[in-house]
Amino acid sequence: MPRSGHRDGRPVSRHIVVVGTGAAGLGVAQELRHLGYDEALTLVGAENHPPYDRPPLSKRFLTGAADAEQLWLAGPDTLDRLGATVHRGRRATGADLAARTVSLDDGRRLPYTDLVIATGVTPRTLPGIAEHAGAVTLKTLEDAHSLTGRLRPGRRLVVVGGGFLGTETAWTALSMGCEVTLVTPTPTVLPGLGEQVGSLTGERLAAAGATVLTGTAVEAVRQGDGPPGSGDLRVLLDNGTRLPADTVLTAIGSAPDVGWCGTTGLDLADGIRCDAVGRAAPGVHACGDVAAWYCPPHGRHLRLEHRMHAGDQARVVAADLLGGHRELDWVPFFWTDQGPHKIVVHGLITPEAEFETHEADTEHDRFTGVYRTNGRVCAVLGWNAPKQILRLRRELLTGPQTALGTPPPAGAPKPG
Amino acid sequence: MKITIDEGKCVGAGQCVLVAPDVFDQRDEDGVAVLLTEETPEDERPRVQEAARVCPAAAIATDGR
Ligand SMILES: Cc1cc2nc3c(=O)[nH]c(=O)nc-3n(C[C@H](O)[C@H](O)[C@H](O)COP(=O)(O)OP(=O)(O)OC[C@H]3O[C@@H](n4cnc5c(N)ncnc54)[C@H](O)[C@@H]3O)c2cc1C
Ligand code: SF4
Repeated sequence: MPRSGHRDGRPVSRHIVVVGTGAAGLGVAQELRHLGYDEALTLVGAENHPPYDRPPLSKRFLTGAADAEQLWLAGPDTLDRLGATVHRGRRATGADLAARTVSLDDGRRLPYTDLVIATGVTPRTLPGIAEHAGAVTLKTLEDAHSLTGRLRPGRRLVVVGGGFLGTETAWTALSMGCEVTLVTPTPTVLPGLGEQVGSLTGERLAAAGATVLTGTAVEAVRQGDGPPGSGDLRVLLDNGTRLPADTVLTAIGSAPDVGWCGTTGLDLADGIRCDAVGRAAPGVHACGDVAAWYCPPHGRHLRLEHRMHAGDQARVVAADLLGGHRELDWVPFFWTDQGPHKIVVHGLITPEAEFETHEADTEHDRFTGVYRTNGRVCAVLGWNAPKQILRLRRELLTGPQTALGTPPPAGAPKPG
Repeated sequence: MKITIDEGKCVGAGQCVLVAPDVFDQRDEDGVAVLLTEETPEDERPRVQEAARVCPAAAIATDGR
């Protein structure tokens, strides 16, 4: 693989172009500068906002308790200091990997020496649902703003999907006084966490006032009897029930934003397929939700949609771009706020993993648990036990402690 | 050195504790990060800056750069 700072054996001045300015894309840019990269850097971001953080969109921000500035990962001042050319509100429409150019929706064509793809994911929807005014998804700041406006006390929200996004939003809507029904075809909510934790979460959600319909699929969403555009909707379930709703949130997962990479020849089977340091092709890296990295401990490619993972990968990519090495933390980590309950998971819960409670403190409504596959610990979970779970992680899961415990060398080697 | 933790932003991830265990701790009830000592010695700076970079909520700010 040719070193990206060279072409045909000649050194060229570098120009790193990052497409997508979420946690992953911004993270690469910030880490590059942190490591001493002082050549050209360009960021292309489809959203017309400073880079912002998404997890609060289903939690604090949705209730109106935080304003947009509190979401910013880099406000105008921080962006200025980055010394990058920022194309905000611009979408990459294609890339020519042989010529090393990326084209934008304003007709511009940017030459690059290195391209970083960090375009994230887009929520999936149900067929035919988009035509209804009250049928929404939650991914962007605009989505959150419009949903906040709809979640008035007494309003009826139907959440389609029992994953993290659906359950979190259901809790938040309850706290705002809405009537909430959650529908999921799975036997419990949060199926990724196993039967025990999923059932418990579903029970708590129901005890808090939500109607939780598991093992139930949504067949269609139709206009209700109110005048068109009034937002009066009917959700048709596979058991024949018709649920009235003012708002229907579809939270059934996401698809990687790779449409613009269609002609690049990159492997797009599940997002962008990369090696263990995020290389997708000569001169191309990918990271964040859009990227499936080869994961040596598991011997396969993994695409995770976790906030911490996006930042971790970004730092690995930046180091690799500068000829250095930073090991990815192969113990993934995520959290989800289920209303008043915080679930934290370290590790990778495989579908066949079995859960066992490790320590429980019913008085404080907290416990930790361990997931095992073939007797080996693959993940640990904390329910309202953020401190205890870190201890358990240290005891039972070994990560590349060097990457976590030692600061990286100041100033990585420059190419050339 | 001076460190500020934005409690509203902190998600109790504990990544700062993994990186700089002598500087950060977490509150028992919600996991929100707290400083172990009022004054953090200068020689912790590299670890604290690493913690600020890895924090998934961008909740840690330090003086200087
Ligand atoms: C509501 C919500 C709540 C979440 N809560 C949690 C949580 O509690 N815990 C957790 O661990 N994770 C959570 N996540 C997941 C976490 O936010 C993601 O893992 C993280 O944002 C991934 O960052 P990213 O940079 O890869 O992608 P993104 O943040 O999606 O950024 C990608 C950017 O690229 C832009 N883009 C797309 N296509 C193009 C193009 N062609 N040209 C230019 N730009 C383009 C997009 O507009 C977007 O701005 C949540 C996500 C959402 C939506
Ligand atoms: S890493 Fe950040 S979010 Fe996590 S506990 Fe520390 S300050 Fe809070």
